[in-house]
Amino acid sequence: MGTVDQLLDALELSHAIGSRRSGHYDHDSKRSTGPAPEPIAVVAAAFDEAPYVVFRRTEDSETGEYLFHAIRD
Amino acid sequence: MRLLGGTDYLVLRRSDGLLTHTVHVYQSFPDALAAWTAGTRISPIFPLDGAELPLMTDDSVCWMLFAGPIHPEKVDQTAPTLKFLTLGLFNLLLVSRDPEEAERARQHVGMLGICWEEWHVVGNRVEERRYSDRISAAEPIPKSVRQPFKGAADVFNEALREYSVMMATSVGRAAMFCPSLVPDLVRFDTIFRSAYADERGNAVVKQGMLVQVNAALSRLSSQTFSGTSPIIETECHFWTHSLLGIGTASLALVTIRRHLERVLVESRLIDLVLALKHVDPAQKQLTELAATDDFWRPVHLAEALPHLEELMPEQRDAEIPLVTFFSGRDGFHSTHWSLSGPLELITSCNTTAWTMLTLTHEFSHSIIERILGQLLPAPNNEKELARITNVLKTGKADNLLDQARGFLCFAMWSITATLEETKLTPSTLKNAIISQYGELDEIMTHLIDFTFFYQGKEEAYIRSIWVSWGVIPNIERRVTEYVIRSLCVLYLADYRRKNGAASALERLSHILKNAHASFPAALYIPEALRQLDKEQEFFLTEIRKRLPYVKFAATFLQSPDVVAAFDRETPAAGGDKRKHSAELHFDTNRVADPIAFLKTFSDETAANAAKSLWMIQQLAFAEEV
Repeated sequence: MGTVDQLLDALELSHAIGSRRSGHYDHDSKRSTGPAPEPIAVVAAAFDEAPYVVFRRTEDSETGEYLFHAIRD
Repeated sequence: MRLLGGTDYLVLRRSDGLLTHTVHVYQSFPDALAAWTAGTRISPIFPLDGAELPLMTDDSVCWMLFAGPIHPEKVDQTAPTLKFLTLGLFNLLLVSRDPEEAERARQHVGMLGICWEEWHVVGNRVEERRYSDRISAAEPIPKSVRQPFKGAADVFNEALREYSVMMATSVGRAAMFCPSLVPDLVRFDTIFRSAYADERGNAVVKQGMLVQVNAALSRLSSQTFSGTSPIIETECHFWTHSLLGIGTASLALVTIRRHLERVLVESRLIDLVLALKHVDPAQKQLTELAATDDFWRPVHLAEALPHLEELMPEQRDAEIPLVTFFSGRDGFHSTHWSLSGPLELITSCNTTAWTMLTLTHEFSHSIIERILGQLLPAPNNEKELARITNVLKTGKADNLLDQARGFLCFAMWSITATLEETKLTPSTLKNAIISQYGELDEIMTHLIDFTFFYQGKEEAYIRSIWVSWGVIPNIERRVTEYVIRSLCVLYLADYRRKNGAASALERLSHILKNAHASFPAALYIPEALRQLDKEQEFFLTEIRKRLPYVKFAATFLQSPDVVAAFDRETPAAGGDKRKHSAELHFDTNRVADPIAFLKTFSDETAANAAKSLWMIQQLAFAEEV
């Protein structure tokens, strides 16, 4: 893994995600990053046979931290 | 030697039906503008030691010697010539009033080994122009740069041709006027050609690379080499500097970029993160470990350290000489190939609002995006999404890197999980990666910028980012997002403590109130304070949702050694990072650490063109001994 490989991986990832970061002083505020909308539900036939895991969210009584526990079969 | 005498404006004008050129000096910009013609070019010049240009009357004569680039301290301070600084690559203007003085000036700059161009001015007319022999004696452009591209698809040939001739021209002109830039450009060319020739990547991605690089290189080249010989033919399209260009300011950006790349490579941060693949995974599922667990401490990169020795040189992270330039449109921005700053830096970099320190944020983006490129599965990689889902399901990872990868994916997904029981599937993971990537990139960037370049100094960092946001129009609707990012930064200090989130909220309000008192004109701070006051529960919930990001950055993106590498007491280039010349003075001190220098001098509220020029000159020649 060298520098060129890292660059290409980063490029491929941002391309696949469709992410294009705007400049600090870019007036086109429509391309703002930020809290993203809730994900759009997708029909993923390819994942029909895929694994899944159900997480149960709890709150730590001391700190209020959200903790996620995988519910195993 | 010191800057003293304000700002004058040197104007070159075509006259006599385009056949001749005349020179004019104005002491104010409105006066220069009032006399504007279609063929007028202008640049500010800054007197040294109170120099005043002689009046140009019909029978007056003078010799204007443009020379550079050179640290002003190296110029003979005893010579009687009038001395001025400029922002061009010819950053020095020496004005002589008799031929003997002019000859001595030519000999002096010749001995300094820099290029020069001399105008013999009679009345206002440029009667004769002379150039240093050095200009024609430059090394030829390396053959590697003049080779055609491998793996080029026909459809993109025009863009490739543009890149090829632009790079060849840039290298050629750098060899003539600024040889220190040549190795950077040639190295960039080698890396870029290698990336372009790589079999991976589709044609559209490669076209995107080309467009970005061509735009960056075009601006670097035009801004840096405008105003070099022959000056009358090299107009700069940054119009307030159309006569002499902004080559010295370009060199200042190069200095900062080189420093940032050097400390990144020395820190071995990226190599260490990747070397986590040689470290055993934790016994427990990371998603179940509370922030109070001992695991969430910056100790794991140290465990990866012994494995760095196994990396072959070509596998190690290396410096990428990002193409640096100024842009009114892009402002502070980075891509995988470039780093830019706004035009305002040139006259206002002495202020907190327009500090060049903001470049560290952009550079941090390039670090984070390279790391995320290694950690996150592409959303179209179904096999990897399924594998990571399985890691999260079984809690079994091959190594700590894989475990960290799974945890980061989980962190992105958990923000979208709003119910008490939620099903994580490859499909929902894919959606989370797509929807949360932008915010993840920003938050991680803030976290490492704060840790590495501000040494975790909360007040300085929060003030800096909010005051710099305060001069950007049209971002009112981003205030909530900026508050969340700021809270994540402050959460880093006490995310493992009870009431850490509430403490972060309280500290942010306190720091922003102080910032508002010091910078009342900074937009958005009042709105941020209003939201923090009215929406405390909302922000407490949002910050808790992002706690996994903070845990990740605190654990996998830092170690005491890495943090120390970014803030070396003794800079790699030697010297004392805290010793600087007095403001507006030039002496034998050189800037040993550009970041420390910027923290010392870019703290004012009002723009000061002369001080900004002084800072630019000090940065441009930081590496010159």
